[in-house]
Amino acid sequence: MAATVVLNEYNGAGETKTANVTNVNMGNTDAPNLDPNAYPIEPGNNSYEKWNKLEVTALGGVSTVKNFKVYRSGALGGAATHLTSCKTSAYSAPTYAQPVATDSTVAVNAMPTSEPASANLGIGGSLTGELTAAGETDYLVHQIQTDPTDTAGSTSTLTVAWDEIA
Amino acid sequence: MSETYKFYNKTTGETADVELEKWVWQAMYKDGTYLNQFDIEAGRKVFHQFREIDREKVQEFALVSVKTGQRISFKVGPEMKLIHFYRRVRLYYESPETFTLYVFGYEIKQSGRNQKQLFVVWPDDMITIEDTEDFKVVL
Repeated sequence: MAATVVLNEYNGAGETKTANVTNVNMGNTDAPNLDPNAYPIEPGNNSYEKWNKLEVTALGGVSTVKNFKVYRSGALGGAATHLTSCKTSAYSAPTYAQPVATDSTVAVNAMPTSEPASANLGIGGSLTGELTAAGETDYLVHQIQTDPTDTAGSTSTLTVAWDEIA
Repeated sequence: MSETYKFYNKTTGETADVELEKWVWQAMYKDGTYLNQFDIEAGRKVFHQFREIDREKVQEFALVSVKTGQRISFKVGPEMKLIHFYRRVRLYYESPETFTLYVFGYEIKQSGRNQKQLFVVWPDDMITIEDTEDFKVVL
């Protein structure tokens, strides 16, 4: 890789940062890299919000990193919904708040289930923002909300895409 | 083990190691000289950024497969704006996996409209031609 890009997660009231998480498993606890079997989302409940950021820790030979797109593939169990702060217009950067398992007031847009046509995660509050040095995107906030009749145990893939100009 | 080249950042004065990519660009100039993205200069492996290309002098722009030598190229006219970037796609499932699409081409104004012709090399080395940078990525 030319640029080194990692996914970070932030938890708790103190915005504790865990750098370079290896998964975004959703569950009923506010923790990074959680075991969904140990912390399942009971049908009818919500997951805790995830507060993530993509971070460029080294540019290598790249001059610019931009155009971040976030989407999910794979169905959720039953009528469950996956909501996010990401959107392709009328965008503003979320301000950190301790993750909650009540209905999110930040993740209120349906997570795209295919690649959006344009960036939906901004940099510095702008969807046309660019990273020309080490730095982070805005917060990617997302939450799963379930229905009492939903089936437990669905798996899906979160995809993040971006452009690097070398 | 990956092969790395040195990039000297004139702005910061720092040097970075850059891994050799599967596909690399080459700019051929009108005077017969050329600039390689990954080059050997005075016995040293050197990485060049896209913005180092002298746009006034470039005559042909190419993307070359390091593995097979396959080459995609086009003649560069004075009215063409060159485009090159990597699209990285990372899937978070059991463990993160990252794929790279190599995009290169040009933008030109025709009949008062800006039009793009982009060659996209997919992770399996399939090549498609797109007219927008917002083409759909399906892996």
